Amino acid sequence: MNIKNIAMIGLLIAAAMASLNAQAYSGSEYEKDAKITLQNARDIALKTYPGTVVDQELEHKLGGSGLRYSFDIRAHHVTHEVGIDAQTGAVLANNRDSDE
Amino acid sequence: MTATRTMGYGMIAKLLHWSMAVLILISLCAIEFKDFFPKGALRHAVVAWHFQMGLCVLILIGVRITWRIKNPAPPIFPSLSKMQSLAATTAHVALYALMLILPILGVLTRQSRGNDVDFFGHVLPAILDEDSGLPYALKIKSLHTYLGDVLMWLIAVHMLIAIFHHMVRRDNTLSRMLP
Repeated sequence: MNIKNIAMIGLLIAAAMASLNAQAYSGSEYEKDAKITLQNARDIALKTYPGTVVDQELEHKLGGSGLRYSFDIRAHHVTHEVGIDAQTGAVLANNRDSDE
Repeated sequence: MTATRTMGYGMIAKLLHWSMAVLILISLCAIEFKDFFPKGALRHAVVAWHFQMGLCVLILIGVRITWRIKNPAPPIFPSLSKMQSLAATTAHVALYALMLILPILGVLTRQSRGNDVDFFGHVLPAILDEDSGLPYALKIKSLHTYLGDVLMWLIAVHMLIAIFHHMVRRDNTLSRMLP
């Protein structure tokens, strides 16, 4: 692989990193339908299960209004999935993450 | 055996291309459709397939890049313009880079949140431990997801352009890689 190709790879990575918003998350296209902001939902989730958010998603799922923020929160070597209703801010789930 | 025939890719290049295409397809489908499976052992197995296939891609991309450097691509007839060649090279470099970067980010995603990475029963050594990786876990996962979406779009464009070359431009771009 020549220098030109390596430079292209570098540019690609740089462009990807630059365009990646720190708040980018799956389901952000549904954000316009949510009354609760990601930050508010995140605050509620962290009050429910204090720790470090390692994944976040806005998804359509049965329960509550049908649109929820799901946070994976890690604390004390255990990950919990905390679901927050995107319309009301209600806590819909707070369970140990079964995908681990 | 010659690695690359005059009019088409050699057997090894084709084998690497199509086997990796299948692995990537399984890996992407596993993670995209995991929510269709009920929580529990079945979903866990589907998610595990995403990791296993991704790690297979990581191994094969090393072989493929080495092979590609030593065996240049057979020429396209009729030949492409300079602009088209540049676009094709850029897209291929991007695809190769993503096939290399995404599995590594996948490993880091798992390890940064304290999970082992299992490869067909063998736990991979930790590049990142939970204590040092946890503050970056969300950013690593976001980057992995984002670049995964970029890869999906690039693959779709790659397929459409291959069909365009075959059906409209009627050159040998696609037929070089057909079994």
